[in-house]
Amino acid sequence: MTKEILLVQKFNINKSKGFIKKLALDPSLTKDDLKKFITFDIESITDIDSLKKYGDEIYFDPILITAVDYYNKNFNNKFLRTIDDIRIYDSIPTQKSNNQFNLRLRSNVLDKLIEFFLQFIDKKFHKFRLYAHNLSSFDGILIMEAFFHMSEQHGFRLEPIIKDNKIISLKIRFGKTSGNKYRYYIEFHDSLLLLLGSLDKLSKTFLHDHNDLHKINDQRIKDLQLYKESRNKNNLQESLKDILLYCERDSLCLAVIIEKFAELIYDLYKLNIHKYPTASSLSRAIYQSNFLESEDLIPLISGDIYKDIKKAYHGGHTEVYKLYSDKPVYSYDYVSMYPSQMINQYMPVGKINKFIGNPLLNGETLDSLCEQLSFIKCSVYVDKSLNRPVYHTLIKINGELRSVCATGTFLNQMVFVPELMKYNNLSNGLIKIIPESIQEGYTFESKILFKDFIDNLFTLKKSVSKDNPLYQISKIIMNSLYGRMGLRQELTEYKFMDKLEN
Amino acid sequence: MKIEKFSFNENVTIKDIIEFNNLLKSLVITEKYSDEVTLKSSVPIAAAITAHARMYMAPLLLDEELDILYIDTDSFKCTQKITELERYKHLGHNGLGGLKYEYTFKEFIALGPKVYGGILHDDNSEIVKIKGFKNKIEFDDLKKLLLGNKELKLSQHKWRRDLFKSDIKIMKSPYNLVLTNNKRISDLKTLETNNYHFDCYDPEAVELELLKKSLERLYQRI
Repeated sequence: MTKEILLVQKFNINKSKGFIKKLALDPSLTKDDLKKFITFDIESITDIDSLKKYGDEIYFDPILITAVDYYNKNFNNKFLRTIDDIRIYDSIPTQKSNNQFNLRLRSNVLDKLIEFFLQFIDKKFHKFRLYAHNLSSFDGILIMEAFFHMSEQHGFRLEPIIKDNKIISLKIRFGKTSGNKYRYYIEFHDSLLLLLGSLDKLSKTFLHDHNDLHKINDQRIKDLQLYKESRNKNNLQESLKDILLYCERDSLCLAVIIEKFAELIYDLYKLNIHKYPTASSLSRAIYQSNFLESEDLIPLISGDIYKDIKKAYHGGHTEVYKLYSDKPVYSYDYVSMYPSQMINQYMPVGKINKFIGNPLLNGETLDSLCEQLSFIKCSVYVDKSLNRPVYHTLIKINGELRSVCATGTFLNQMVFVPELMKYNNLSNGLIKIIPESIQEGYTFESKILFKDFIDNLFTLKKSVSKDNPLYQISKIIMNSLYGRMGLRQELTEYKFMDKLEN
Repeated sequence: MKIEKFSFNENVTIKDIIEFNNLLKSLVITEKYSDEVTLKSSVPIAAAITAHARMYMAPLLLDEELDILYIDTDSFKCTQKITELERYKHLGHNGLGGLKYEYTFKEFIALGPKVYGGILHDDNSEIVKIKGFKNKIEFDDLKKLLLGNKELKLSQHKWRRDLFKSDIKIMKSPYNLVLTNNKRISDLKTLETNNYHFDCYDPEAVELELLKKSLERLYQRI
């Protein structure tokens, strides 16, 4: 054994985390299950005109909620404010008083919201999903406080999943047993996170043949909600009727879109969309249930490997090379860029080996590391003569860490070897890994993973016209999977507990 | 469960505790990181996919004869008809990965990533896109900013949300558009940008330096 060999230590690090498993389809799933959902929508008022100078702020005051129980075909609505409340709200001139108004009449709204949602806390709605379009950044926020109170008053348990300050899902458990368990639950999802389009656009594609169900796109009603002046000019009683109609239509329109979406996904992949709160989780489920070939293929990655390889995970190139042109400039777009790479490139999978030391001293070459789809820690050289250097790295510029393509020598980089080898070839060595600098890294097995998945979805997309919902669906699913693979290994948990004792 | 007991008994990092008026319980927010959680994902695959997308564009970026003004993840703005050049003809198709022509600008300005605008050749209409700004801006304003080297003072309505107070509000906020040198250095004489150069850059040394500075500050306080 030579000295050099001793320099490289290899570790097998595939002990406990395991692999992404195939997702078994539920044979008992029926089309009837797809109808077990409720949609709701809240309308609120504010006055944009009172935003006069910087720092001015206005609040939204919820006035009305409607819901469609799609399974039982029931409509529900409740006014959260009376006409008198709205007149008081509009009589207070500044934003600050609006806030005080909010505080004064807040408990009133809370009580009404609690009353409204309590009708769905019933075992007949066990496992139902409740959808609002844009729940995560609008309706969900307006109802959150009511849910805190409702849970405390009635002994329910709230289980929110919140990411980047957005509500991904919210489970309410009820029916407490003597053993402190809960028998039933309902769960709130945001249909926007699943369908990724405005209700207006979605209704035009999903409800192509049902003009009567389209979202009402009426500027007058929007103005009634956004401007005090508009409310003053109109008969408030009549206006509220119009707003109610508008709100009910939104709930119904969303319900029909969700049912249609659920049936299309069921017909194609035999999955229940109500189990998946986001497009990326649905995309992953479709891949795992219908396209994942084997069980020991995609390793689950967390801990140190995650932390290391994440350093080599960069976004796309975004650069300005020239600030101005008065000559013709042609604009080009790639067709489905990420899917086009997913379909035919080899992916790093299977058994992972970690090495410490420089494997080039141990018989490996940069080409062999490239074949093993390695991620390595090393130094990278980018020649000064390049005007558009393509090597991405994180650099502190003007006090902030930025993803930059610069020239120079970069130490302690984590890189994907095939990427650097490609740049090396294209630039005739002007961009390169400095061979003697390699310190450690990971090697993988390689396999084409997503060919059937992307083929299936791209064929689907090509087979229909742009106004067909399948066009939008296939596009969303195709583009949502890679991001799910790079999910941050962080989990924020929310628990309700008795207060600290003072 | 009492919060004190929870924080002593379990190995958790409490990020925040939110107390509410009229509620007996508080909301305890805890965080777990990659050492403690395994969310079902595989970052090498995500890293490889985005790397391949960058590699796919690299031949064009490293082609010195192409006069490229602006790129963003999967698009090019260029003064040549790329797919009519012999060496890139194979890219001109509508299948996966094809390079599709969109439209022609007769005048074009790019100030930064996702901040650009132009006048369309066909109907003289304008396309102006500014990251994080929703209101309409005239192409002429971008031009004044660039050629007059002035700050563009805009105002917009910003949404603020407080999940735990159930508050949604809109604020009137200033938005100052300036030419930054965050990714490349702009040269206002040539109207081109140049890349940053580092004889030797070591992110670990930068991190260490930061750590040292914060430790020094801590010592000073003690």
